[in-house]
Amino acid sequence: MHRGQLSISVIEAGVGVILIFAVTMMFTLGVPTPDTETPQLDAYADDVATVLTNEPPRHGGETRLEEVVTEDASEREYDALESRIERILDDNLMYRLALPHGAVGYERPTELPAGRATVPTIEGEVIVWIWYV
Amino acid sequence: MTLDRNGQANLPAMAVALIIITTVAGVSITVVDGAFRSADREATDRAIAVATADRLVDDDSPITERSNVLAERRVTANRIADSVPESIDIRITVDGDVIYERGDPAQGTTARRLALLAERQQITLDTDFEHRTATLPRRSPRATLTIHDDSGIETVRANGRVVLHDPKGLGGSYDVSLSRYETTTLRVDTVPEEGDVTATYYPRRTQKALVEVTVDA
Repeated sequence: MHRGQLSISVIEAGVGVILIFAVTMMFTLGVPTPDTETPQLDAYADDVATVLTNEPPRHGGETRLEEVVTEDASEREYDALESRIERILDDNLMYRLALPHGAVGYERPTELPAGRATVPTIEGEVIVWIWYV
Repeated sequence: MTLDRNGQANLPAMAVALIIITTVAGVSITVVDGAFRSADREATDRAIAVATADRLVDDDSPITERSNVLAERRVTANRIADSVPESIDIRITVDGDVIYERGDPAQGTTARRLALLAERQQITLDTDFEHRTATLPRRSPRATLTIHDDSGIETVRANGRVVLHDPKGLGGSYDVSLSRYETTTLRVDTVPEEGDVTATYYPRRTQKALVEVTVDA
């Protein structure tokens, strides 16, 4: 009986500790902190989409958005759109606007959470992405 | 003798084991309690903040002209008060200026929305309709035309559409509604004398405005 064995009580205590930790982990990991970033970004994207959808056009078409989605919308139209969106957005936000025949804005980083909004138009879907710098 | 030694629990080991288990259980309860508290604390605040911000920038909101465009003259505490839920601490700012505040929601959650702040200007067109036409430099949903009684003008057209007509001759001040989707050219049917016709229009100047709603329920 003197083989340097651990006492049974200590082994039991060890098993108990592991069990308690397992339960604790379940609670702490099972209640993740809510993702508040993406809903906020989604709201921003929605706002940009709404503003562009309702804005009167610069030249032709029904609204600002209708004007830029056509296939022959010129580079100048895109530049104006770009500066318009930059004026709407706060400084800590970046954007990309995917149009049926092109895109304006920045390359979207894959590793960051981004908010998204889509607007249907005659020419196809317009997608707005917004993310934090 | 041997039986006696084996059957007895090792008392010091047992004591150590109990202490370890109690400590771990205590720490666990504290951690779990903390996790729960931090998880549900924000939910109500955030829900109220998001919903209130949503309602404020909506098309039907008392302070907007259309979705996400706030009318500057309507952005007042009185108008906002009706859209705000009762018995919570709340602060609403537009572009950094506090518009409405109740209580002290410093520890609260903030929802932000992007919007435009629109301000109507009133500009009188500097023209005498020398060539019978005048083009409004900026878009305006309406214009006010003041026509002198003796000018002999019977018809006024906006982009070819008749907006004013009186076969006996127009005279007085008229409000005409125009398209906000295209640049407007006004045309009269006779060449008026200097000062016979004045046109006032109301273009809109917009600037960006961040709407922030902070709630501490």
